[in-house]
Amino acid sequence: MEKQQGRANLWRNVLRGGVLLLLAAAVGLGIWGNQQRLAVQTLRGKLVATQQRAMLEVVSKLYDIEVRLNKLLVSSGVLQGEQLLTELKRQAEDVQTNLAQLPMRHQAVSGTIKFVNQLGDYAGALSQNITQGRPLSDQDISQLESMLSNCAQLNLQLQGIEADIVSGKALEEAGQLFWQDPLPNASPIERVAGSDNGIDYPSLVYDGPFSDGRHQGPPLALAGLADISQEQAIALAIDFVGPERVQRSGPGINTEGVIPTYGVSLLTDDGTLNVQVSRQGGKVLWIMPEMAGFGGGLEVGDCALKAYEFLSSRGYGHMEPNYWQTYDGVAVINFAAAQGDVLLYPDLVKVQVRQDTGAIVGIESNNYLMNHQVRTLTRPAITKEQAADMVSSRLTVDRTRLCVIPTETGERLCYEFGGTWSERYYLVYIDAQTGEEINILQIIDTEGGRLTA
Amino acid sequence: MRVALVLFTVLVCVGMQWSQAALTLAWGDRGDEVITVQRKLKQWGYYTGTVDGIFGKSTYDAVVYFQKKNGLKADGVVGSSTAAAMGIQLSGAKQVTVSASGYSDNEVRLLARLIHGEARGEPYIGKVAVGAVVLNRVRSSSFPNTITAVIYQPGAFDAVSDGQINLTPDNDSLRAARDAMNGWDPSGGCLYYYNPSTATSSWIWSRSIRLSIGKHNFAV
Repeated sequence: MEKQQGRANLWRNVLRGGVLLLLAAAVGLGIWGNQQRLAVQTLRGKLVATQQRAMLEVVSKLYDIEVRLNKLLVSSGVLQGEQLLTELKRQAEDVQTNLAQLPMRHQAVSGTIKFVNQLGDYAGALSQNITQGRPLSDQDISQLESMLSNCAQLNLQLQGIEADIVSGKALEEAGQLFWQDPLPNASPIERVAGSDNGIDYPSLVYDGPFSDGRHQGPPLALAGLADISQEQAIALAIDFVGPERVQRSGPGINTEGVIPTYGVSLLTDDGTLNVQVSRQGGKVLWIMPEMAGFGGGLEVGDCALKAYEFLSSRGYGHMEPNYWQTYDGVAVINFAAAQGDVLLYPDLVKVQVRQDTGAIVGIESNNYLMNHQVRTLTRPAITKEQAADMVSSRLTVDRTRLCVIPTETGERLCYEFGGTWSERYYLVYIDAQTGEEINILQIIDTEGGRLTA
Repeated sequence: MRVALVLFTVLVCVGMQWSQAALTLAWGDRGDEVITVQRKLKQWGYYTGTVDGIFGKSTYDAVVYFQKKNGLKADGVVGSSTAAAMGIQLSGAKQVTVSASGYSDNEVRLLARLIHGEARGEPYIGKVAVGAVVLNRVRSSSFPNTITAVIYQPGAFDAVSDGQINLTPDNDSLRAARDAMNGWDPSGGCLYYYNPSTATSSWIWSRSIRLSIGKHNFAV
């Protein structure tokens, strides 16, 4: 009887102990859980604060932009106009930078990003025009007016949800996955900044990289050439690379871009080479080696020579090397086409050469195919000596040549002056017709490359 | 035209030395590789100084200690065998940061990290394509205007959201970043890519697919 009683007591004690343990564990878990919740809350608070700052900057700068656009349209002075345009460009960039930090869906924010990008770009182009003595044209005025009207609509909509923005509610509701489809009850801020906000953004036509009027013309080097087939592409690729190097060949991945291509995959002694041959004309667009990590041994000059021989034997004509870089056992050398003694910088080809064997393993000729043509060059309006006068006297010039350089709006014939100042080498480009200094490049020589900045 | 202009003025704006001779780290070196070495040695208790990326006396001592403990030649120089014992890979680059108006040193490495985080197991051409998509977005007016801003746009890349962008890129990713910046674009101008087996957004599926490489569809 007593023994049973004793066993029952033991049981009860064990049970009691177990319950106490569980209770303690539960309380401990609860405390830990609460601490975690508080920590997450603090972190979220910090994150939301930075995003809220970005959102409020967007709203306030968009309002500033509207004010400046208004002023610009009533200003008649050149100086004031130029200043307003510079400020507009800067503010548009600010809005763009802050928009890029908001945790909103791509579709919800891309419309406004595009709007401010174009606005800033356009303001910059107009400002440059004014500096060069070209005041705002009637078309410019009407384009500015439609941008002003859009900006005003945008600001009106933002004003409508101002309470939500300031309280942080707008941001809270907006946070979704980048590529997600819009939820049926999407946050009002999404409707405002997105592409379906009812605002008809005009298509802007001006000279600048984001202009709608800017179209990339057809590839000039392929003009008039006939289309080829997939089989022909493979044969052309083998021929280009060198039949003696190719062990196996087969179709690769085709690409569609401005220059549609057939892909060819070649197995060579240098590993697999991916070759893209243009469907029109059968020209090689690019070649990429699947692997690198080759050893060293050859000087860059030797690699450049091998690349030059390769290019001239493949129908590129006389090309001049200018810049280079080495990485992972490969020397990447940049060549520009030449027409007589005029260097054509828009017609660029890059060649990748193995630094151990000198074999050609890569090539990139998109610029060449887009821009290369025989140009009718207008005679320079100023002489070399006159152009030299436009170069800063601080530069000790040691070489000059004529060249064509690409600009935002096309191409220009220039005199290229190479010289030293303060132990650095620079290239200065003077327009051969107007004597304007168009561009300055600084040459940076390092062990890993001869580069420009 | 703009592409040509960018390529012309900023053909390659990074001065990184990839010379084959410098495949070691020794007293006097600085940089990310030194940080990696210091961090590892600190983790294992060989190094008690600060992880500051400067290979000085205390780092030297720690390396010698490590080498003695692991049966390596105790010369205080992190060469290929010491690096292998530490489980790190030396890329052989002594960094020469060059200020440039175009693609800076940092941007190359950032792009390489993104490629590594997003396309680690993809064929090489897929890695270059990912890099090219980033650059195409920079050029597009609907996206931010710098490589940094495009990569860090909230939610745009999984590798940023889940931290994989912070892994050290391998040689292929670095080469792919440079190739993309030098103009190689296997995507042919695409702005989007996605994994068809995991993407659920109907909007991204509505994008016009240009090509498919490895696990990704590339679209415009």
